[in-house]
Amino acid sequence: MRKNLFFLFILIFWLIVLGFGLRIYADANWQNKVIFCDVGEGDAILITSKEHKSVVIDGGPDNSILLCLSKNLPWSERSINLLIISHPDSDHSRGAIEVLKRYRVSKILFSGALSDTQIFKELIAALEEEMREGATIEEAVAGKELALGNLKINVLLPTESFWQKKPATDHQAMVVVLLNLNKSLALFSGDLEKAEAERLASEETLPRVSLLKVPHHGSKNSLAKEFYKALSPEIAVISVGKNNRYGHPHQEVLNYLASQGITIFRTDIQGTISCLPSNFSWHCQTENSSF
Amino acid sequence: MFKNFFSYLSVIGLLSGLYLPTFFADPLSTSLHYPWPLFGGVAASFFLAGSLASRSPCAGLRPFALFCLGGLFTTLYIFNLPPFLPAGESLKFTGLVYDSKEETNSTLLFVKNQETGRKILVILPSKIPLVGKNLKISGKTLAPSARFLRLIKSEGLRGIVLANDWRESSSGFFYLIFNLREKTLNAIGSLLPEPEASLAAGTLIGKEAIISKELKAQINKVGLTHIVAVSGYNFILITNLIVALLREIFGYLPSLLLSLPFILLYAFLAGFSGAVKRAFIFILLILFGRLQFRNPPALYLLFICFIIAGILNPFTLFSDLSFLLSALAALGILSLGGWLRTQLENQPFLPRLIPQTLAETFSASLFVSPITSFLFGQRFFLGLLVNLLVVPLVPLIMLSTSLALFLSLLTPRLQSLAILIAFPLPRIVLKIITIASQF
Repeated sequence: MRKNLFFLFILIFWLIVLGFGLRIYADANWQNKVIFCDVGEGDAILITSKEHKSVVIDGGPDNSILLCLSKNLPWSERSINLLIISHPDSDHSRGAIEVLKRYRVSKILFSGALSDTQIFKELIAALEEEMREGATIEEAVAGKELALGNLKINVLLPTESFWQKKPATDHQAMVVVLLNLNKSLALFSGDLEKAEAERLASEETLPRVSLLKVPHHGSKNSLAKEFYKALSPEIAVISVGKNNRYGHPHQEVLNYLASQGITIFRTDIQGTISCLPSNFSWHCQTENSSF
Repeated sequence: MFKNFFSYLSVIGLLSGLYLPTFFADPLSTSLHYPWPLFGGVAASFFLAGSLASRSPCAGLRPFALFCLGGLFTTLYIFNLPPFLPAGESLKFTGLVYDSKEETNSTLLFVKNQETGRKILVILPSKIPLVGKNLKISGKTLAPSARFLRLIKSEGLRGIVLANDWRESSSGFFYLIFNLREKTLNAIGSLLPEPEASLAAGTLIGKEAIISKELKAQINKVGLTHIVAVSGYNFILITNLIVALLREIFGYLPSLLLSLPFILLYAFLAGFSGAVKRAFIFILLILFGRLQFRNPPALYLLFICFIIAGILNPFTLFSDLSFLLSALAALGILSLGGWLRTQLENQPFLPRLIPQTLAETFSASLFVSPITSFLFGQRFFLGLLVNLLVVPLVPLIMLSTSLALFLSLLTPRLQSLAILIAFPLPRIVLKIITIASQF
């Protein structure tokens, strides 16, 4: 018995030494980066900064985001500073529930709009559980600003409060945010619909951004030309699943983006896409080839 | 020697009788298409081999009769199956969800109808963990498609329902166990990143691994599929630990009795997969033997496991891959492993730990390799080498994960230390898999 205990202590000692060494090595890998995870038909985006901060925007349709987070965060990092849920559709929030189960999330930003769906009930249960463990929830409404060191988030939509209210559709309370990472701007538009995008463009408050997450996986119903003109992005990322049943991204959207000289990245073809801020712009790399 | 051979022959006769007819059975129409010449030939072979083995013509009757008895049992089992639910009908029933399987956009629930006892596969267009709950389900019955055929056989399902409405009616003890399993899995998941978490949780209580397609292919290629699920090996390691701990506290005989509820609880926690079922029956038989101060040969106990599993559901062996692989690995270790270990122990140049690991790994790999090579494209010698490196690490992974879990539950402040303890070994195993799969 004593011999076994001695062996156990030796084993634990060496595991701690080894783990500590691996941790020091992994902690050196924090970078300013936006990662569009390849999670199939859905959105899941991870933003990290050199100051050891992490933001997740949506979680995709299943638990594939966990592999993406594990690959792109240091292995010993088990917390997320901010989780943004654009809306409660399952292709955006199912994976967010998995993130809430696995990571300690400090702050959650969402519109607070009510929904009748089963996934919404599950999401609320997961949020309540996370709040019991110390997370705070903030209402996403236009004008809200959050700063995590050199990583700044501005909420552009929704313009009115939907807290505890039921919108006509889940897309009406869509959370759209602007990221400023080391002075490079990116816009994350969730499943923003054409009418809302046009309204946002008409307000003339939209800044020019160099990186855009294309609304609604490249659906033609979200193609608002004024919106693209106002933003004038250099790079457009389409987060979409291979051979999806909706036919996303629609050819009309692809043609329009190409006609505007916008470089297109697609998760269904290029896998996970990582974009690094560089001189007020972005440099994107894909799993298969680099741009 | 011949007496033993004769006994084995009799057992094999019974097993063949139990399992052979399932090849020719259609569980959907509950009919059997017996190829009589084949069965007659097999029965005659058992008679002839038995007569030759015992050098008495009448002795051949025993394996012959046991083969016929097994065949008769399976025939009656198949004919007595309740008819499969016809497609296109509306159905409302209350049932207990005893297992579930997640698919991309839906969940497959395995439900036992409380009124009829019929096992039904319910397709739920959502992903909700409902295992252990009693549900009031209404939906439409579906025709059995080919992708469900293996499940229909291995689980004894008698209907498929696409649910359009379900409500929880109650939850009982079974739900508490499932909840405990979910909480344990989440606790491991919050300690470790993926796929290390899947590996650690897989060895400890088994789970559907969150791994990429590439890694899955690599694991299959190097023959380590058994480490991302609770295998008979893992189950026996844990039960040995339970018995040893209880023996330290309560002594020999009480520990055997007291360990039973813990082993049963662990079997539930491990999800009662095919491999766990096999190992559970095996452990029960060993404990029962020890209670009677007997130490029956392990190979006989394994045969009894096969017989019990065959009586419970004759389709198990050839439709439940987990059961088949676990049973073949155990058969290899128990039949060839002992002899090989003795031979290796006589070699003075081998370190003390090597003979047992090498003998067990080689014999288990040899017996499962025809199936794993065919199904997963596994390479025998590569698998053997990788298993030799990885198998000794499995108990250490189980130990370090359990310790890390304990520390993190004790106080959240110890979580960073727990992570350091739990991470290195699964990472080493994953590195070995990545490197080995390149060859």
